[in-house]
Amino acid sequence: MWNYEKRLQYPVKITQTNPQIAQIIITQYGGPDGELGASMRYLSQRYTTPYKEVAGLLTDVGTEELAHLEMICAIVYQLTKDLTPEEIQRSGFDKYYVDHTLGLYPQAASGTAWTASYIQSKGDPITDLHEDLAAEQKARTTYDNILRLVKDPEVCDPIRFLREREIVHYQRFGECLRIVQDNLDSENFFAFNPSFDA
Amino acid sequence: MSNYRSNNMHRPQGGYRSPMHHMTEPCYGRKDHLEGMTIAMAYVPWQSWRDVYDPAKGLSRGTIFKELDKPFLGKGAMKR
Amino acid sequence: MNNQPNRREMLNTINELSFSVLDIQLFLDTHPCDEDALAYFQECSNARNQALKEYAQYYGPLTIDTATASCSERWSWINDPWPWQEGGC
Repeated sequence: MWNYEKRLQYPVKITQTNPQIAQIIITQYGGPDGELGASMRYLSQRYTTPYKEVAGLLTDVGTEELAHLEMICAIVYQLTKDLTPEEIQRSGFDKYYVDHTLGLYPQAASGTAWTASYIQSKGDPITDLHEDLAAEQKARTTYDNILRLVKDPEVCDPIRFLREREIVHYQRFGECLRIVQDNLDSENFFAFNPSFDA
Repeated sequence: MSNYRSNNMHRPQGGYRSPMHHMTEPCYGRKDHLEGMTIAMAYVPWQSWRDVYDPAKGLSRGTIFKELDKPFLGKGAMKR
Repeated sequence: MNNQPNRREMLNTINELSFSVLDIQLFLDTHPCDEDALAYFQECSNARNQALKEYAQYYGPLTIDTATASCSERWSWINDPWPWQEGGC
């Protein structure tokens, strides 16, 4: 179901390398609240949702998150481009380099590899949407933290863009939850699972 | 043993535990904008179509919707 | 060719229009009957498609669906720079 366009959603143009912040920013690629997890979460949840608006939104946002992980990778790629072994050693980036050279690998800032344990796809629309609302806030907070640590305006610019997208997605998932509620009896929203019992 | 309860000023008779009364602000009635909504559920208000940025501004802000444009300001931003 | 539009400007226009289309798309997913949103979607989407076609004529395709104009003699789809590389944005 995917074509792509040969352009980033928002431009990434970084002229100054910085392996220390690359190690921090990579967390939004393969970390617990990063874009890869977001994409896999939404693209996994969409199959069993009984409401077309929600299926549409999960697919569209899940797709947008792929464009976001691509931007994060572009940032890390440009921050580490053509580093010398001395620069790599000095910055502490050597621990990543020894296993991945300058290749992009989905991991958290801590070095933990990405895992599906970071996501849930519970097969119940109320539950899944609460997971999604939380995920967007966790991602937003992570970007807040990155903005406190990073001062390079060429890096902050795409980071601010990515952070704002989390807020927009939060609103959309909130609207999806309203749609699910409208389709259930408010006397007891938890009487059954519309993805299974209906 | 029988004087134990009367020595403890914060523990009323009968076993019911009320909150410790060291609060500095008095209790005001809470106005609930969601009054009437079913409890044990979370609600995000519906967004309406308004205040749309032009494409150039939209891309630079990260949204075309002015109402969703909520930048990070960091320390010192809190209104007192 | 005189009047060949600047590549960076064209790409910027495509980025801006595409972003508007996306933000409207997400809004319409949860507001499928909103007439203002539907009208603005038409406007931005038409402008975007036009811009993509024009870009492909001068600078090679950004989408596989605009690739036929420029890929008849060689497969320019794989040309660099790719978007994450210098000069790719």
